[in-house]
Amino acid sequence: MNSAKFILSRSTYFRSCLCSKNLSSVVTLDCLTESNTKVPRTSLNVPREHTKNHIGMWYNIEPNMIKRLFTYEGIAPHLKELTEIFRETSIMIREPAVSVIDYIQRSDLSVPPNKFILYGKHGTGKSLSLLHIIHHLAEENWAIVHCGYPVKWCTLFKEILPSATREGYYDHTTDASIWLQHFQLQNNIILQNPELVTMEDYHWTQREITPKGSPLTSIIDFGIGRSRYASECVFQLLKELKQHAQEGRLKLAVVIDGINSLYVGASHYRDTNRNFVPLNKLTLIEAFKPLLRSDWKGGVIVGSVDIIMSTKDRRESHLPRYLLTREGWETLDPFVPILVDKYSEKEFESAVNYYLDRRWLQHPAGASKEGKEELEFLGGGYPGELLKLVNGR
Amino acid sequence: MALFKQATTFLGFSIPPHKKLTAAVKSVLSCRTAYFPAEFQKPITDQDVLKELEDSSEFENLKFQPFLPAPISLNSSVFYDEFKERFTRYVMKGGQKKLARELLEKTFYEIKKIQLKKYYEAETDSERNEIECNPLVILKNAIENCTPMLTVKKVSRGGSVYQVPVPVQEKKAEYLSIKWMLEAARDKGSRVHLPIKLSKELIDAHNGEGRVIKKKQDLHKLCEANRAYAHFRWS
Amino acid sequence: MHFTKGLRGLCMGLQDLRLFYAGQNITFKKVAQAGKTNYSISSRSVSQARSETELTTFEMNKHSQKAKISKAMKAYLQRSVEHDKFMETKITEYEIGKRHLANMMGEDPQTFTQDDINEALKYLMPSGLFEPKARPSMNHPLEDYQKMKEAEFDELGRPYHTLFYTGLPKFFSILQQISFKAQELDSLLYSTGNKPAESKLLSELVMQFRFAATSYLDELAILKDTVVVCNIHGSKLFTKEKLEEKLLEKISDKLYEHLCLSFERLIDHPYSATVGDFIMQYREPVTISLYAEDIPELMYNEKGVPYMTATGLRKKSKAEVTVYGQGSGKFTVNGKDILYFDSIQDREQIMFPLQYTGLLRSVDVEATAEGGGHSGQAGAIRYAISSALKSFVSPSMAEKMRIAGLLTRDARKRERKKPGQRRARAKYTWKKR
Repeated sequence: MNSAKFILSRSTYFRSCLCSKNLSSVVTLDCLTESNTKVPRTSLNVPREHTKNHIGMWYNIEPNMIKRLFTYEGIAPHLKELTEIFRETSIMIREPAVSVIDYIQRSDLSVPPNKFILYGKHGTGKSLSLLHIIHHLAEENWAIVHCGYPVKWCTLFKEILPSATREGYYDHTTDASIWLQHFQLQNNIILQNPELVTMEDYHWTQREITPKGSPLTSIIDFGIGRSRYASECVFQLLKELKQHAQEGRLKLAVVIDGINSLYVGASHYRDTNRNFVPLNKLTLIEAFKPLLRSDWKGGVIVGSVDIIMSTKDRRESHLPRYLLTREGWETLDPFVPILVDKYSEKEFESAVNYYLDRRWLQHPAGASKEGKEELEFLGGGYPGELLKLVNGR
Repeated sequence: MALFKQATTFLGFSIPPHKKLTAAVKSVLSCRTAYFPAEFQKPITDQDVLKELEDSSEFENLKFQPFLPAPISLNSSVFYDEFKERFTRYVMKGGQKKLARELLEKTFYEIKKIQLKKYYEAETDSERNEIECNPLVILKNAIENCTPMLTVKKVSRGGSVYQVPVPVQEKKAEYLSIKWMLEAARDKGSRVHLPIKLSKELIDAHNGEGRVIKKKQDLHKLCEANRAYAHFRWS
Repeated sequence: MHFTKGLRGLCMGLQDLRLFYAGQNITFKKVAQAGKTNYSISSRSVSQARSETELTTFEMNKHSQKAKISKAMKAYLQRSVEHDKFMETKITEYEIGKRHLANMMGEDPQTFTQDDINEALKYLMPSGLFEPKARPSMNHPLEDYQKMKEAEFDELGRPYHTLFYTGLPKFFSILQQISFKAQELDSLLYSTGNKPAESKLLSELVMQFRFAATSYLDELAILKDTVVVCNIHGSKLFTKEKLEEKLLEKISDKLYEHLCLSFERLIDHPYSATVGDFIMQYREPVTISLYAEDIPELMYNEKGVPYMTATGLRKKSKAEVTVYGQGSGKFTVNGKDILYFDSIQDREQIMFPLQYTGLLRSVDVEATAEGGGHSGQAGAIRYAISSALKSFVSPSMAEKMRIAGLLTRDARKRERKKPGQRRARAKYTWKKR
């Protein structure tokens, strides 16, 4: 599927009111005559301007931005459905995201990349914090290498074949080409930079060659067109990007939701001997690992570790050291661990009011003080649990 | 039984036969041992009911009334609804209460999804006011709309069997309504999951249309058609 | 044969001692002329008579024919003699044993009570057995052995109680008394209301009362001031077992039901208070549920924070809970937060007592749970929290908690599988052939 190319100037891009077919039309607040005015909203749509004073407030991401950044991955399916129901994509401004955005703004790009790892119990809001951060990176014209859910390449892959280019490795076909489309859509503007060209020749097959000096988009297009070589394309593309970042031609941000899944367990693909192929033999997985090391500069790394991304026998703790395993720890160390915790009282109130405002919490008792107290107790104050409770009321 | 009759006549005044059995008697007559004697009463959490009791003279007597332990499905939460619990039990199969609850919650999710879509697509205020988005209200309304008033009973007179219209008890009527609703939702051969199907059926019934309403109306029509035989109920 | 003759004799209603001749008819006159008797057995106790040798024969002063006692009487007498002998020997044994025990323990045999005996046995014969009834004990034979009814009829088979031939004389006499009392109260009802119109209304109402399905007290509006219903609250009718124990008669379920209904009808009468004594004779008090002594006092830790501990049991689960006052609504179980419980139903159960008392945000709860499954653990924690919260709330709120069913230990447990059945209740498929 070819995505439409938006050739618009930056100012009109973010402020236009284009109606997209995927998401319903933007509904202004005037339409909701009984909206709960207690929902703290901010009209600041640019994450750079969010400060600690805005914590607990909701801000809206324009549909075009959502389409650009998260068409393929990045928002969990159940949340995506909710954004369709609510007619908007709003995120609560919370402390972890604000901190990371601040650190990124102040990062020195002439030294090896700063690494920020979000950690916390399942259902605390790590993925949505990453959403906020990616929005910021996009607004600030960073090149984003984003992987929303690496676990699906290990267990829910569409097709894996023995690699056409590497001995002993295995390639994803459809998954890799979809990722290339995702990358292209996210970084469309960045890729228009004429300086971003390949640094060497790429001989995919005897006849198919991408010569040195061709724009990076040619690798991407080749990978999209020829999914057999898509994984290899991803590998080489990321290598190129790393080199360009090193030489200062772009700011590279590597954002992976579930970094620990790259290092733990094995894939569900069996080789000819009926053994499960380990993760380090999958080209697509191996493509991202060089970017997580500290041997380059000109970028940042933001990731999250989650207990659900780990294998079932390795779920005793939610802490990064445990979840990353030795290999991951040695690659990523040193990093800044950012705790994502359950809602504070103010944030909880804001969340419940938002659900009331969107008419998602229908039960009349939900608006009462007792009802909110009960929801907080039953969910333990966790954002994920609150959503589960509100879904059924 | 003979001795019983003897005893009653011997006494000189008879006990009316329709007097209800006391709790003490029930405990004697129960054939299986229960963990709690029959005088234990079901617990009361409803604040309104308690207030009524407090105002009346009955509250003093509650001191001597032992109460059963609250069942696991009962709680005093503001979100608790007795009808919803009862409905969950009908949805439950094989004792899997947790699954039944989850299915009902997904059903409510689906109902909200459908109704909110209509709500946001509506243009005028009046249209919006008509759309009910509260899934619990829709559930109750749907089941109420589907409860039959009459049902047919087979009575044989002179060799032939007639379908005699007969009023149906409230509890039975509710049971029939819920049963039909779930049957419609669990249609065999359908690959659609219960929450999705059930949500659609509930919304239809709430609006007075759909398969289950039709079933009730067909039953009523049958009763209407057989009104000539209504007297067979008594003769 | 003899028995029916005895009946006939009873029907004749003679007060004198009757003599039963096998196959002979004695006219009324002749017996009267027979005159004085050597024995007026009706005036003596049967045991006295039995002690004399002339148990089976009677000497007539004028008539020399031997009187024969019915077989039933013979058997009864034999049984009661044996029983008495048996009881005598047992009692003497008991007494001797008591004296020996007292000597062994170095106590004074005269002042050796039953409690002393129990203690002595515990010391001399310590038992590790679980069931108390299986442990060694020495009780007075009158307690240990089943009481036998006293003589219901004399040697000639003439019963003492008029209702003897119902088979359950004492039981039916209660029913009879209820009937008589009811008639008494009815007559009271008739006597009140001086105006003829009122009395007519009353008689109609009395008929209604007799056959009414529901309470008629509303209809007796004119008598509202004078209505004095017996206060039976705080008491309940003797259970069937207790009644059987008291009357020493085996009562069937149906008869017990009848008794219950009869008593209820009597109590329903507007003037039942006047026969309150009679009604309360067959009622025992019900313990009031929540005494103030049941509710323990709050404890304070070194920081001055009030707390209370409690344990809860449910199915195979055990929970130990500490509830701290001056809290903010925190909850931990086995070191984890409420997400320890996957199911929302379990969490709602734990929330129940806290939310009901309104202390959801005011207390902190620390719980440990072990054994059983998630549902059992949640139930155990709920019970433990309720028990602990008793101390934090007012007595009226504690009473409300009891009414809500929070303070009753749920004693239900998994029913065992029975042999010959697939599960506890499910039977194997029944095959006709």
